[in-house]
Amino acid sequence: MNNIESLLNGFASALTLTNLMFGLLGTFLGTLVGVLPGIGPALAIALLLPITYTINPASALIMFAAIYYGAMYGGSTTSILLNTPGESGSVITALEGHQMAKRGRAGAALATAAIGSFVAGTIATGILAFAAPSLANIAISVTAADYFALMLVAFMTVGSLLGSSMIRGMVSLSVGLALGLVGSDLQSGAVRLTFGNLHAIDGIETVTVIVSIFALGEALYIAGRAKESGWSLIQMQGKALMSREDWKRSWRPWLRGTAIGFPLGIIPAGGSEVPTFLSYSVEKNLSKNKDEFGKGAIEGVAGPEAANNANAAGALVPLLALGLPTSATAAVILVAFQTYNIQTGPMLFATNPEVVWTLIAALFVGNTLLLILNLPFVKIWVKLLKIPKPYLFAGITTFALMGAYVANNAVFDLWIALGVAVTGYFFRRFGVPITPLIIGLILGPMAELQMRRALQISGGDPSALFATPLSKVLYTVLALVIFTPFIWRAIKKRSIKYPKQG
Amino acid sequence: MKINKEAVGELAFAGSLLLLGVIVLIDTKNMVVPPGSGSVGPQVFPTIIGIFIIAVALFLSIEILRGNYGQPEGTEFGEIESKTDFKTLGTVGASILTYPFLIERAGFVIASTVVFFGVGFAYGARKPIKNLVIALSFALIVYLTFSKALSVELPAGILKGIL
Repeated sequence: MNNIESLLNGFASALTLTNLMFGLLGTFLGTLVGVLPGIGPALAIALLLPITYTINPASALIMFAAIYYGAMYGGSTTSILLNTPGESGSVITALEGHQMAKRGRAGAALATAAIGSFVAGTIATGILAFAAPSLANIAISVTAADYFALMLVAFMTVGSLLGSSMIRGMVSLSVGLALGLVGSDLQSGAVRLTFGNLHAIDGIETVTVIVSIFALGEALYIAGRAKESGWSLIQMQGKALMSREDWKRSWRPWLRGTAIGFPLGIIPAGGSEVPTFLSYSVEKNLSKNKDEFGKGAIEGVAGPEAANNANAAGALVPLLALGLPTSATAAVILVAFQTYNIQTGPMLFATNPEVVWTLIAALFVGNTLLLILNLPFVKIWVKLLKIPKPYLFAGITTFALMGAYVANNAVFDLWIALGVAVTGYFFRRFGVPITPLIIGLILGPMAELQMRRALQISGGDPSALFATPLSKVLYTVLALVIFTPFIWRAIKKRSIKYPKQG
Repeated sequence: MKINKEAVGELAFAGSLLLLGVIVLIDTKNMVVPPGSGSVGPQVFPTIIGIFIIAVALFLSIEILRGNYGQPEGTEFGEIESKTDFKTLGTVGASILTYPFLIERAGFVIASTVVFFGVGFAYGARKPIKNLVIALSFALIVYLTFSKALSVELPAGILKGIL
């Protein structure tokens, strides 16, 4: 069966009435939580994981696809109208889109963000449909040593590219790796870091960690450190529509944004921060209206929003083809797969083709549903921003505690959740990014497995870890990732010392 | 080099990380290794991680002593203050802390109502009756949606039979 045929089958199963209903529910829930400040796509899916414990995998994945895109749409709405970027990918949208809204162009900003996300999402999912299976074909020949190297690269990039300082990214990663050690070792049965607790033998529940570090950590942090300040919600005038001129100025940035966002999603480049900033600076340099940037240039919303969405789709390529999550959201989707005992990675397309292709088709469907659902109803979503802050936080906290408990129906998980919440508080307090911890927790055990596989074949000889050509390339990349920031800093220092003339 | 108050907090954070690394190494050293674990047993990876954590903690301490402190994370809810509001933080923390005690004894609805009410109060919901009504309705709606409509099992607790 070729790709197109498989994809059509995927559509057939995504478009059944039941699955369409789950898709619709997903877009609704995704946009809902995306609009609510304080909840990003990763937390949204983690909070909604309990729903899926009772429904079949295809429906659940369709719902997640819809939530994934929905939460991003919702996030851009908040950024534009409220100037509160929910996640790093929306920082630029908030910057430029909010300026547009202030000048009475909120409708056009929302429209270019939504249509741009749709265009980028559709193109990127199209490429995903063809890139992931081919990558999976290649990936079958990837050895354990290569995998281990690949994971080290992912650790390094996620750890060093996020947040303000590399060392603090590593702090987050190291704590995640330690949490990943807890429980019995799958290969030998040895028990690690349980301190005699029987519950801990099964390891630490990933969902519990994710909901508590995001939601509970944030609730504690804002309670302890944030100064009460009212939101300045900009009232939207008119409909979310674009003029002829807006279209003319938007379509090129959409395409360029897609071209920047997708490839950077495939390689573990540390989330959506880099592609959106890159897209913004490209648009700024190419634009004829340079002076408008910073005051509400539509190109500055169109490009980065497209880049953000294409980047999110790109992150699904390594997730599906290699089983390697490169963002917090991809990590949560991986957990969802694991709930159903579906192993992502090269064999996925061979063992569970119907699930993958349904997911890919669902991404198309979800994207379309969102465009239909969101543009006309944006004003209804905006009303959600009027929920009083006390009830909003109370609701998020209560829901997060439920999510932490219900994964295993265990009080033990709640104690873990409280510990992780305190960790999350101190991470925020000391400027330590959250995502590397989650990547470490999920990828740590996988990295150990691959390392031991590689070493067991060689009888413990560590040179086996860099014997293959691919692993040699990857370790070179790793060295570059580690040392580039130092070189970059040196260049920066020099350019400050000798400012350019003219 | 003068060590100010800010650095003390940062160093305590780095110190707890160091402690984590030491705990990982001690636990790994005392691990009972089942026979037949092969040439690369269950101790290799944790040892690497333990050393990594300690190295990170030391590098972090050097950064701090050089005066590079962490930038507290911004939020969507306003400016970050340099002083901790222990009253609000304590109320939220205490509310969350009741949950593990109540969830199985009193049941989901009561536990959730207590947390909702407490967190809402801490964040400035000053009308207790309104807060209580919203808290209870929220808990009931979530309970009924999950346990009845989605058949996700949630503890009914002492309200068993009524719900």
